[in-house]
Formats: sequence, structure tokens, C-alpha cells
Amino acid sequence: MPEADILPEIRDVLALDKTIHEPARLAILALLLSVDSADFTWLMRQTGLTQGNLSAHLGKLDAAGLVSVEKGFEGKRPKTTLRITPDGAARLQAQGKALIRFLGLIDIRPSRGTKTRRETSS
Amino acid sequence: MTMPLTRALYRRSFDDGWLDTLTGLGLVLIGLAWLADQIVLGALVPAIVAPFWTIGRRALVEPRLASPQFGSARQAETRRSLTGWLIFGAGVGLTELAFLMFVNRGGTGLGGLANMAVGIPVMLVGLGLFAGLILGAKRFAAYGLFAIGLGLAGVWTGVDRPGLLILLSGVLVLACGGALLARFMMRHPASGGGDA
Repeated sequence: MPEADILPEIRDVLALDKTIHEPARLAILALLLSVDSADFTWLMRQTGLTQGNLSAHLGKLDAAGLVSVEKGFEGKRPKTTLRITPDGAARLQAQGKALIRFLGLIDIRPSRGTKTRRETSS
Repeated sequence: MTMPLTRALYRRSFDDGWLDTLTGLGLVLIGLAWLADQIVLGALVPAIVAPFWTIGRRALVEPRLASPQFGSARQAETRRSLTGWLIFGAGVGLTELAFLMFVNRGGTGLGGLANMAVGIPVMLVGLGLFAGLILGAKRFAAYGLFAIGLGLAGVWTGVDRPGLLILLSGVLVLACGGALLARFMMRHPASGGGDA
């Protein structure tokens, strides 16, 4: 089937970024987008992921350039500070927009209250 | 303007009960100071209690839950809100003081309002407690309503010590704060080491 016959919305959803699309990674990125920076423990508590699981997901996000991982110490305790990168924020937003367009095709739309939530200022 | 998720996370960061515990403790101390006829001492309580906010967060909350850095927009919003709260608190304090001085000097022009004098301080405290809504802590509205109801009940039942009513409102807030804090600490045991 020629690609031109595929609806753009369908083409977009087939092209969704699988690194971002995995639920745990989507949650991690959304959480990091909503704060300036966070540490590993906070992210672990907020997602309910185990230490190993979270480390694995962060490794993939880091490798894809979606988050930055900064290792340091707070007193004698190791502290990992995490941030979403500008590229990560842009790709998450693009992914969200593609999903919203696609869901609109099957009459699933964000409610009025959440529709315009400024893409992610601040 | 911050994102809804930021606001939800920020609101949740006050659900550990430490704010309630400190507020309740402050009100209990103010009530006790009033009962001991040391109203001026009561006025110093907020300044005494305030530093424990950071100390408690660092000792009790952050080792368990850690805390993210909310963006500068969120911090600016909080700063504006807290400034408003402080101005409101100062206004409440001054009104309370002026009213008490007036009543103590035998302000007869107040008529039935003078009978309300015993309940007014705790009712003003109740109004102040509504400021917890600024941080998204809706339970503070319930505390506020309770304090206002307590003031009315105090007037109705003829309680003659305003300090007692403040003390009672503080006990409720302290008890709720203690329960929230205990639940928080049970749900989030302190993590011994660092992170990954």
C-alpha cells in the first residue's frame, strides 16, 4: 500500500517515539517536565518504580538525550540530580500533540479544562 | 503560570502533615500564652515556630520523600501568596489587638458585639487558617471553619477565656497534623543510603 494513502494522523501515530511512549518513561518525562530538577529518590517515590527499574529507564532516556543525569554528593550521601533536556521537552510535547490529534479521530478528546494547558511553559 | 502537574505535585508536597503540626503547635502555644495572660508572648510564637519549618522538612520529610526543585515561576507564585498571607496575618493581628483594646476600655458602642469579644480572636484565627488554601491544602478550610464554629460556640456557651478557644482550635489542627505526619512516616520509611 502506498504510504500516501495512509492518513497523516495514522502515519503520525505509527511514527510515535517508542522511547518516550513506554508508560514508565512517559511518566518520568512528564514528572521531570513539571519541575526544574528532581533527585532519584523523589522520582522513585513518585513513580513507584523500583530502584533497578528506574535506573534502567533513566539509562535509556539518558542515552536518547532526553534527560540529563548528574551524579554528586549531598554530605556523604550520593545524590543523582535529574533534568529533562530541551530536546526531551520538545519531543515529549510533539508526542503529546500527535497523540491528541490521533485520539481526536476516535472521539477521545481532552476535556475543556485540560485542553489548552500551555504546553509547558515554566 | 505553572502546569497542572506542577501544581498537583506542589500541593502534594504539603500533604505530609508537617505544616499542620507546626500550625497546630503554634496555636496551642498562643492559646496557652493567652491563658497565662501573656498575650505579647503569644504574638512571638509565629517567629519562634517558623524556623522549625525548614528544620522539620529536612529532618522528617526530605530523607523520606526528597523534594524536587520547582521552577522559578512556581517559587514566585508561592512568594506572592505567602506575602499576601503575611499581610493578611498582620492585618488580622492588628484588628484583633485594636478590638481587644477597645473592648477592654469599655467600648459600649459595640452593643451585642462586645459579647462576641471572647470568640473573635479564634474566629480571626479561623479566617487566617483559610490561607492554607493558597498552598492548595484544602483541609485548612475545614480547620478555619472549625475555629470559626468554635468561636461562635464559645460565645453561645459563655466561655470567658479567648485563649481556651484558641488552644482548642490548635489541638484539633495539631492532632490532624500529627495523624498525617504519622501516616506519612509509616508510608515512607527513611531511606538509609543515597540513591542509584
